Amino acid sequence: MVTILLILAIGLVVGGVGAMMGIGGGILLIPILTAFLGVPIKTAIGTSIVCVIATSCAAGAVYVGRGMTHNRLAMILEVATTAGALAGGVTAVLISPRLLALLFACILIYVAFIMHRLPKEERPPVRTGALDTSYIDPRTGGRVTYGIRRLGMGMGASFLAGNVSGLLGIGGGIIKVPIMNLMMGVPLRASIATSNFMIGITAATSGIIYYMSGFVSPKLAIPTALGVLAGAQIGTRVGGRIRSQRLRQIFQLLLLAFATMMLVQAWMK
Amino acid sequence: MNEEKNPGIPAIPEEDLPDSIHIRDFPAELATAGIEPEEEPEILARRDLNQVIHSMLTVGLVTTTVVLLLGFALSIIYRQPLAEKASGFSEILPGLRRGDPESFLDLGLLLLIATPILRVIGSLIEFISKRNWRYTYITSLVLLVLALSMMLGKG
Repeated sequence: MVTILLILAIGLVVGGVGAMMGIGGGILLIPILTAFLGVPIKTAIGTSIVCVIATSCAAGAVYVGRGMTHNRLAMILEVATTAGALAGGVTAVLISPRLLALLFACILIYVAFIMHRLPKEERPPVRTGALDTSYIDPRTGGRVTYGIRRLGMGMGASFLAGNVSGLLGIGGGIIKVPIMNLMMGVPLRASIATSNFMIGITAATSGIIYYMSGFVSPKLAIPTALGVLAGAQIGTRVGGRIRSQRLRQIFQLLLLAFATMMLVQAWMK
Repeated sequence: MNEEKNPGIPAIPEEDLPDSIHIRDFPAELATAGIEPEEEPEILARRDLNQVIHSMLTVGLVTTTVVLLLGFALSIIYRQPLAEKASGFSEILPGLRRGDPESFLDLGLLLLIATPILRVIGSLIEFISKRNWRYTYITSLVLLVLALSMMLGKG
């Protein structure tokens, strides 16, 4: 019972911090589970993937309800992300835990550096004639219409994003959002909404593989998922108020510390 | 009612949407404020798809939560700790019949994994009913990948 409460608390913190920083929980959850609770990395990945599905479904339902997601674009990119996740999931089950820890350290370093790269002022959205769509901007109440550029490149990059997601058990929004926003011309808000929405099916693809291979532990996965879901709710409400540069830098240092922890694990085992 | 669910897309009165008329054949007179007449059928189709996806995700999450809470309650009643490993598909149904808490928790986990898949199936049916063959094809491809992962997961 004590363990369950501890795991629930970890989920709560991870979900809350993740939502405040605009990232999913997986990237924090896996280092914490492996380093502090001694969970084997593949089981930690299986646990994380379940949490990723839960948060994506909850966030996705809200974003879809508000009409913020680009559903048709999501369906197209999902062909690539699920194929990537399938390949990633199959690979992850087979390769050594040491290599997985090493790859995870790399992704942590990537995230620490990419976090502040998204532009604050974005280019005005334009129609391109390809998959044009629109949404109502909640701040202005006006209709924003935009189209898609470089769909082919986006598909390729989405395959990679799905691959990382399947391999390391993270949602991969930190890869999908820049792809859609910077490469394909999707406004940032719509990118975040669409990425959140797509993550669920991507994670479900590898989730099936992890479940069937025995890497989803009910003891870990259920309390964590419930904690992350509740934490994300709190995080999104508090998040708007706390957005200082200092906090962001502390978070980047935390990610680098986690990366070091994963490197140590890769070295020791 | 629709305005509450989908504040992003203006609602069109239900009486203006007779079932017999296909969504692509809508006359431009029905256009609501702020939307170009030629965009309207597309916006309506998008609204329908949003509603399907929204309800699929909500139903999936609510069912998952109910089953997980039931499993939790049962494991407290029977004083059974949560399992380290999830059981296989074949053990779940007999376990549910016995009222085994473990099986309810496993079913909850599977329902959670199935929720996004349910959403894809819902979209597929919506695309077929709108005769949008292009997206019917694309969505089928996603389901094909999922079927593949189920086959590979077993091996």
